[in-house]
Amino acid sequence: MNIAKKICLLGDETVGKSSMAKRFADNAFDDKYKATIGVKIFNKNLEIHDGKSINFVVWDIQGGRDLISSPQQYYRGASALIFVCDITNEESLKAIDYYLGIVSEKYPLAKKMLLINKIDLVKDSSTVLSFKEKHAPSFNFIFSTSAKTGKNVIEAFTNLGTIL
Amino acid sequence: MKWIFIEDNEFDRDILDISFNEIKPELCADFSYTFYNNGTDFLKGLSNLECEIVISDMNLPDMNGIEILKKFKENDRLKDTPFLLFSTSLHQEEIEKAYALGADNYILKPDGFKATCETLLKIYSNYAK
Repeated sequence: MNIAKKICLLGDETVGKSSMAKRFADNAFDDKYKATIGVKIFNKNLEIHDGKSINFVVWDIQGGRDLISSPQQYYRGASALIFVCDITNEESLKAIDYYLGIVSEKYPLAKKMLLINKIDLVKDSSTVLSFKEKHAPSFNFIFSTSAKTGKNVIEAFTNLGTIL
Repeated sequence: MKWIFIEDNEFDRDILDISFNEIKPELCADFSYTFYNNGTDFLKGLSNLECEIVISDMNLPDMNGIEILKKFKENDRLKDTPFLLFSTSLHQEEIEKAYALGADNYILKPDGFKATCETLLKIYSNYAK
């Protein structure tokens, strides 16, 4: 059985949403930063378990807080929202609470996963652990990831797939 | 730096005019833009076209933005010039087709003056050399 699911990435600019989508869909990484404007779509089929596979239709939507709060339709119909933050960027961590507030109100039925990205740049894991603990009740899954190295990227999507 | 808009809607053109006027201090001194009303007129002038960015509306009276994009990217001289699409709707197949044909961005048409200013500035900072 193969089912298609719309998944949207959200988070501040430069946290690595496009890199995450590219790593997931193409297993590739590009060091050059180019801001996403509007939306780009990535596709990948992933076998979840027992022959069930999901066509993840990943909407890489421009970063920032404007679109999620606007009445525009980028996020409409999403089965899951993936929040991405950058562990080295404190503002992006704080912004998660903002995004959660909007999403809980506007998209209460969507599954929620948090990806704490750029974990390859961190030596001390205590910040990551406390951030995970704080947000655990609000998300279906939380993973520390690196779009650069690929750490936990497929694992995160596979886990998300089990509840879609 | 010259941008080209292919936009038939007079109201949307007015919003763009007002927005450009607002953000003018943040643009380079030689910045300019030109409007085309439809795809046919735009494509007619391709051989002499000089611009840094093309932004086309998806829904035009004579053809859609994807048809214009396809013909534009077939031109060897212009194929590396960024081509962006503004649309009032988001259909997965249409977005995927646009990128497959070489679109650089697919953007939901900004809603109102403030959002238009923000979008234009984002585009400008992404593509200004």
